[in-house]
Order: sequence, then C-alpha cells, then structure tokens
Amino acid sequence: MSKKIRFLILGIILLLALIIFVFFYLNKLKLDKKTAGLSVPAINKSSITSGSSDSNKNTTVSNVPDITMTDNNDKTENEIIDESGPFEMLSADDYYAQNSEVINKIKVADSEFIQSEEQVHTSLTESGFVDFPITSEFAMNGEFFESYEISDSSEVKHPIYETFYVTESDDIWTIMVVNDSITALPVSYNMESNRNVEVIVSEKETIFGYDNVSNQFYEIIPNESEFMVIVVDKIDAATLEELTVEVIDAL
Amino acid sequence: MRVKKQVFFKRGIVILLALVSILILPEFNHVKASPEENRGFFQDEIFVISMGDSYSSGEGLESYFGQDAPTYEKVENEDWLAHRSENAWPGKLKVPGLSMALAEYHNENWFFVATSGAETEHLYTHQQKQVDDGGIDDFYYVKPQLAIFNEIGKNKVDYITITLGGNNLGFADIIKKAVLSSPIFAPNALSKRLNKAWKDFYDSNGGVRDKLKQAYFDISEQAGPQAKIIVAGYPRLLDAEGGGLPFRKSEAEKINTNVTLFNEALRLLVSDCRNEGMNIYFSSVEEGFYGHEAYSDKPFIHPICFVKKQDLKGEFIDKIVSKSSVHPNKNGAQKYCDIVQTTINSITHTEFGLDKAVKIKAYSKIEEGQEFLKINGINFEKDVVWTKEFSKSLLGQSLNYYYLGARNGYFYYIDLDNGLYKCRISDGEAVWICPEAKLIATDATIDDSGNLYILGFIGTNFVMVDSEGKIAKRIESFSSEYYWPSDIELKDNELFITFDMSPTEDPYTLRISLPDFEYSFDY
Repeated sequence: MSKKIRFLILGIILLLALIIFVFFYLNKLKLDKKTAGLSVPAINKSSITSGSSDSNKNTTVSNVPDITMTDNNDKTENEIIDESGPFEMLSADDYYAQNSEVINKIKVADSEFIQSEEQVHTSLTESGFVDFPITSEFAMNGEFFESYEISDSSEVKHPIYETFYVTESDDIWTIMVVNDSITALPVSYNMESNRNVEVIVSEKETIFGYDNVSNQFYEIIPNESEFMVIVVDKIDAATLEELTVEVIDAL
Repeated sequence: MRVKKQVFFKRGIVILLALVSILILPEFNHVKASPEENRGFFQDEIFVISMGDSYSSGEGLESYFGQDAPTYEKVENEDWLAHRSENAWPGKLKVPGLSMALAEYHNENWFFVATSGAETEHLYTHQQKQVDDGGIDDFYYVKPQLAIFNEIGKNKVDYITITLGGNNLGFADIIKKAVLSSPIFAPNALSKRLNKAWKDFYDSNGGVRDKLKQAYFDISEQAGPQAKIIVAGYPRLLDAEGGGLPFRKSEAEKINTNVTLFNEALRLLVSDCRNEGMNIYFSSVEEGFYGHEAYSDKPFIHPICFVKKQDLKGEFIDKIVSKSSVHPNKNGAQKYCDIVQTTINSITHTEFGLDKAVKIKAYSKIEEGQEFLKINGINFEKDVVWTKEFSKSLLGQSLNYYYLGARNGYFYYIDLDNGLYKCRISDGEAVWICPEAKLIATDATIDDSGNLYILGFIGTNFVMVDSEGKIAKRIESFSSEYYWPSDIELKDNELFITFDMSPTEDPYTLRISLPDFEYSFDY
C-alpha cells in the first residue's frame, strides 16, 4: 500500500471520529438545557427513588408507585404552607360533592363559633366525656401537628377536636367537635353492623366537616347511600349509654 | 547423695506418669474402639439474635414466654413484659449449624430480644412497660436490646433478624386513628398524618432514616463483620378490595401504599448500608401477604380488635384498640418465617454454595494399635464436601492426632509430627501451621480473638498460640507437685486449669490471670 493511500485512510478515520464527537457533544448540550430548569423537591426524593445497586435482587418490592411531591407554588392564601409528602391532598370540594350535599362552606378565619380549648374541655367534661383526653391535630391556620391533649384553661382555638367514650356495655364512640358542632361516631357499632352505611349521631340534621388544605368548614348532609345520621337532642354520655346496638338497629 | 535420691525420685515419677498415660490417654481425647463423633474440646458455636419491634416479638400470638406464671413473677420476666411469643416467626427459623428451629435453642444459641412497641432508641435505652395485670399497676423495664452483646460477647453472632422503624413513625397509631374516625369529618387527615410521618423519616436533623441507619451500624459493630443482619420488612395490612368498614377503600389503599413506600425506603437504606460494607440484607415480606391482608378471606393479619383493658398499658388509644390489631396471626407468622428463611438460605447459597462446608464433623477410633481420625466438611445441605483422614500406628501408646475443635469458620488439630494446624472449614485447607505446638493435648479452649490455650498431658504442660499461629506463651511445667493438667476454662480474662494430681492427691484448680499469666499455688 502506498503512503498516499495510508494517509487517505487515516484522514477518513479522523474525520469520522470528529463527526461522531461533534454529534454527541451537541446532544449533550441539548440534554443539559432540558434538565437545567428542574426544581429540587422538598423531601429528598432521590433518597426514596434512586437506587444504588442492590445485591439482594430476590427481595425487591414490586408495584412501588412513584412518589409525587406537591408543588406549593400555586397555593391560595388560605392554604397551609407545607403539603409535601408522598400522599397528595384530595380536593375537599370533590370529596364532599361525592359523599354529601354541601349546604355551606365557611372559612375558618370567618367562623364566629369556633370554641377555645377551655370551652371545649368544659363542654365535653360536663357532657360526661371524662375518661379519655381531648385532642387536636390542627391549628387555626390549617397547620397539622402531632396530636396533643388540649388544656382546660387555654384560650387557644382549633378547628376540630376529638375524644372517645366507652359505654358500660363496652361500645366505643368517637366524639368530634367541628366548628361549633358536636357529633358522635359509634365505632364498634359501625364495625359490626350489617347496615353497609356509616352511622353518625348528631344534634342537627347537618354535620360539619373540616378541610385543612383549604382551611374551611363544610356544612353538609351526608348521602344516605353511605351514611345514616341519627339526630338526638343532646350528645352526652347518658345519651350514648342509651344508644345501644339494639336501639340503633331498631332506628 | 540427697541429690541423687531426688533425681532417682523424679525419674521414677516420669516413668510412672508415662506408664499411667499409656493406660489412660485415649480417654482424654474421648477415643473409643468404635468410630464415633469426636467433638473436640470446643465447638463452633452458632449464635442468632432476633431484635426489633412487635412484628418480630410476635405481638398477638399468645402465649408469650412466661405468661403462665403468677403476675408477681412474670412482671420480673422481660420476655413477658416484651410480649415475646412462643409462636413468633424468628423462633421458627433454622440456620446452618443448628439442626432444629431456633426456639429449641432459646437463650442458648438463640437470643430473643425483640420487644413490642420498640423504637430505635430502645436499642440503647430501657423500654418502660406499665403493667396492669393481676392487681399490679406499676412500671417495669426491658433492657436495651443491644445489651444482649454484653452477654454473648462481641464478634460472635452469626445471624441477626430485625424489624424496626414502624413505631418511630407511629404507623400503628395512624391506623388505629383511621379506624376510630371517619373521613367525613376531615377528608385529608389520614394523608396529613402519613405525610408527617414521612417528613419525620427524611428529616435531615436526626430523622428516622438516620436513626435506623445508625441502629444498623451499631448492631453491625457489636455483632461483628461475620454476622449477617437480616432486616425484614412489613406486610401490607388491609384488604383494599373489601371496601367496607372499618376501613374505606381509599383509606386501605393509602395505608397499604404507605407500607410499600416504607418497605422500599428500608430496602434502599439496607442497600446503602451494604454499599458501605455492612453485612446486611433486606427481606421483603410484602409479596407473601398479598391477598392475605386483614379482612381478606384468608387473612394472615389480625383485624382491628377493641378491648376494655390490656395487661400492659400504653397510649390512651391502647385503652380502646388491642395491641394485637393488624399484627401477623399464626399463618402470618409462618409466612414471615418462610420468607426470611428463604433469605437466609439464599445468603448461605451465595456465601458458601454447595461446594463449601459450613460445619465439620470429626470421627475417631483406635483399632489394633492403629489410630484413625476423620474430619468431614459438611455443606448446608448436610452433604460431605471434603474429607481429611489420618491413620497411623500409635506413637508408643499415645495418639498422633488430636482434634481440638472448631470456631468462627476454622478448625484446629494437632499432628505430633508437624504441629498445630488451623484450617478453614469451608474447604479444609490449612491457614497456618505452628510447628512448636506439638502437645499431647488433654484440653483446649479459644478466646474471642482466636487465641488458643492448649494443655499438654506430659511434656509441655501448656501453650498459648495466638490467632496468627505464633507461640504467645509456653509453660513446660507449672510445678513438680501439680501435674496431669486435664481441664482448662477461660472466664473473664482468667484461665482455670485443673490438675488431676496435687500434693493432696486431689484434683486442684489453678487460677491464672491474663494477660500476664500470673499464678500461685496455695500450699
């Protein structure tokens, strides 16, 4: 092979190498541009989903849904600051529309009837609910915190309170105070009943729900297909003692 | 003249010793006329620890250890306080080197320290239990789980099983709250509680993830690099297809997804730990419980149970909901066992394969002036994968070969022609030979660092051989008046050597302080 031909072949090879290099370099630039605008999630997502090599391949978890982080940029002023986490908040409007007739929506900031810890404590203890602590998990701005026992002398208010009552016949009730409304949930009855609807005992035809995302109350009438609301004059220990399984069944 | 008498007397003693040794030596190495297993002087001990929370302790699977005792007795029993069940899955496991299920070796080879309600901190601190049973209403305490290494010793454990982390995140209470309430009052409350738990998990300022990693690290440090740590995950708990109370479909799905996410987080954490050099594995139980959640047709998980009173008090919610709720039932415990057993078998396969031995069996006999010693390497399927055979005419009337025992993957024997051998159990090959340790061995022991302490019947009385095969101490004779050393024991940095003959002609035990080898005979 002559020297000229050798140089020609070498030249072609170098040219091809240059073309390949330019092609990959341009592609990389494109990719960098695409990824440059991505934001960093509030929780270290990489520590959840990024995997380092795992030697124990027999033990991988299948069907793991990707964890979606809620973007906080679109929040209205009523919404709470931090909604991040693997579980997305559902739309309370949608939920109550599906499960009830919405009578009224009241922003927590606009409600005049929210009771203080002291008021709720007095009211519930006077009603005979003294065996379990009264707790709350939400602040007035919708912020969620570790469930804590309320004080009997504090003026601090919460949109929702909770306690329990166990009757002489060992029936378990959950007592909810939402806005100024008190309702009782016969937990053990609902578990054992064949009614296929959830029984709620209320002092009014309507009950109150609370959505911490929009930080507002929903006054609703639950759908009869899923809930049965029993209206009583007063929710107190004496009333709940009378509402035995047999009595509720007969209603 | 007096000197001559003494020399004559000493020679007489030596001849007498030699004669007696001819008659009794075979007994010292437990050699009988027919071939039988020769267990040596020390055995390769297998230790397994089962740690963690209620998913390991067997909450809800009565009876708990010590449960049948009167209350005043059982409150002093940590097994009962911790609700460690006789039916818990860790006790059903089998590991190479132990022929029966671990429960058969309770407190001998298997140490069960998992405690109901345990969080990561309870590896390091006492866990308080408030007893409300049999007229007793008082506080009692379960020892920190890592304290078990003070009893067993460091670097001696073979396997550790653990479930941990669920209580740090309050998952049990979140589920109980879900059943005690209704989404109609606060449709996003469950999601908020779960998200809060995840924030706690990934909190860069001492979050649960970091606590778990530290816990795995500390367990690994205490257990030693040879210990295989098996982190078992958690099962999906609720039948999401049921759609009825006490959990609505959307709630059940969230709770199950949460378990899946937690398992995935644990798997990645374990993977990180492995990449950092820990001998740790993750065993996912999730798939095994599909279709067997609580409220399914064939549940492996206890449903929510309400109670008026429990033997151990807890949070106020425990006054209503039984601690056994959403814990594995008997079938669930068996499923847990099957899955973790598969992981153990898989680890053993990977580590050893079928061509490597995991334990040895030695046999010996004497027949027609010929001695015979056979050492077999056995794999985890109990097949012989290698054999060493020694056969030789007896050296005078004493033996040529002394099988000393096995420990931590190695076995030891003395060949009087060549010296002391340390060999790998896996393939039977020698790691080192110590030619200076040709003792007519009557007993031997080994410490946690692999130092051997060997007694010789006649000739050299004692040698200590370090883990590298070098003579660390040699004592030709302890005393002219104390001879026939026959038994050696190592306790708390002291050696106890028993001589069959002493001036009173009774056995005498000598205490030797280590590492200085200081001793004195009380005359």
